[in-house]
Amino acid sequence: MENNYLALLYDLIAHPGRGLSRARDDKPWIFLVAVVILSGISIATGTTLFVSSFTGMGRIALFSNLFLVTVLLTLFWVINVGILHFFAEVWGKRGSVIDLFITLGLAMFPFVFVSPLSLLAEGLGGGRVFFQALFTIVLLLWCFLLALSAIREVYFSQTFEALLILLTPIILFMLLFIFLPLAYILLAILSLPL
Amino acid sequence: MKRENLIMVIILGLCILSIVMGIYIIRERAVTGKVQILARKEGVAVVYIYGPLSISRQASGWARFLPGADSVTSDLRKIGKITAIKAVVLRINSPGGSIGAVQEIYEEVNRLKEKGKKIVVSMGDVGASGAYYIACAADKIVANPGTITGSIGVLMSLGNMEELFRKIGIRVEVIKRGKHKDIGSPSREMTPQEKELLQGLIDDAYDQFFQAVIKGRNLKKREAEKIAQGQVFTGRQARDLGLIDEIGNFQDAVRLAGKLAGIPGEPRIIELPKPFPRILGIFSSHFRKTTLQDLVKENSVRLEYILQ
Repeated sequence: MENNYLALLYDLIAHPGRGLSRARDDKPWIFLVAVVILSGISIATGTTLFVSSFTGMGRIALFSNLFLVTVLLTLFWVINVGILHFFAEVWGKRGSVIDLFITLGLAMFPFVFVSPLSLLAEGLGGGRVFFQALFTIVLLLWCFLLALSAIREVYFSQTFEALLILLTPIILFMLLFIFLPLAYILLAILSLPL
Repeated sequence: MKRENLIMVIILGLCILSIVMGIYIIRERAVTGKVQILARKEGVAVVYIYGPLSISRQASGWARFLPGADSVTSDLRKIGKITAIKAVVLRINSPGGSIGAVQEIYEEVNRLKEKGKKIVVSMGDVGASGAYYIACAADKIVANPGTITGSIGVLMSLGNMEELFRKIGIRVEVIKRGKHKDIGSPSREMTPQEKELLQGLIDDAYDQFFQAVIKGRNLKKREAEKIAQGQVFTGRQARDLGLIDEIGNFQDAVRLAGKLAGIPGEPRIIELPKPFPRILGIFSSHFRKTTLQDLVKENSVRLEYILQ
């Protein structure tokens, strides 16, 4: 069983499509929980380590950060699954929400590397902020690609369709953020006594 | 084990190891504030012991902006955990203070020495009585030629306010269990037996101070007895008597600390972060000692290694 998990982990890194398709079929719940917990701990440790190098934060910060990250990560995961499943159905795709929950959870696996990379950035001294930013961008990009792969595997869709499902909520939110203030401004102008 | 599995075990192991290391560094930062744990350059830490000493988080009297004995011991403990700090300069400008405060700092300095840190004392205007007691734990003592030091002795001053109380019409009713429970009461004259009891306390406290001086300064008992009669000395006189090692200022003390610790060149000074002073606390405590009750409280039995 342990070897299966290790093989799954290897596939997630080397062959994401194959790994996520295996995860969809096998539904490795324990492995999923372990990955999410480890990711949460790694994000909390990595970010606290980075911030503490400037402010001298300590143990309390780590524990509050750990709590915050775990709550936010779980919330993000659950909400993301709901939103993406909704938009997949809007685009006419059919798939299991449980499968999406499992594969999107595993798509957060790159966050496990936040702590080692923060430690590496710490060791780099002067260019710490630059490298920390670079590593964060790389990890986010990796997560994005894994999420794309997860959607492809769950809804048996093409890359373009998966990209559409993944980007639709982002584009909509961005439009909302642009148009909502504009709408308010327009309303304010219209309500002015002429 | 398959090659892929081995790779994953290594990657996972490194991730977990990095998390453990990260937690360790964060924990150390919690202990040492902004001091960089990963900094490899060795240095000298400076701990300030200013003002009359008492067990408090903040110094009292004219140095009330500065940390008290508890903060000093806390800083010394933090320093003990930082490997980059090889030596400590105790910057002293104090007339001494309560026995408890002095001995707690003295013990903490000794513990720091046991951990292999070199300790150098740098005296400013004054480093007398209890402050000198603390200095005796150091490897070297540096003072200015005009620094006031010495005052090896113990003091307990109790006022007799019997006459004052009578004049203003106060009669103190004492209900007690224990013959000497109101020893040192300001409302009556002390009995010879009480004086003897308190003298016993003073003698024991003096002996503790005296032993610390003999041990720390490597003095012979007979020589020490001559200079341990409560008299004060200038830095120059103290050097001639063996109470201090060198004449010099703060920078000289830092250089000496670096030299003792084997740090080549000009040693880097590692400052521990200081908490903000309690601004409102300054106002609340400034004009306080005005009531008769406070005056009586001040008169309680308390031993001090302090320069009057």
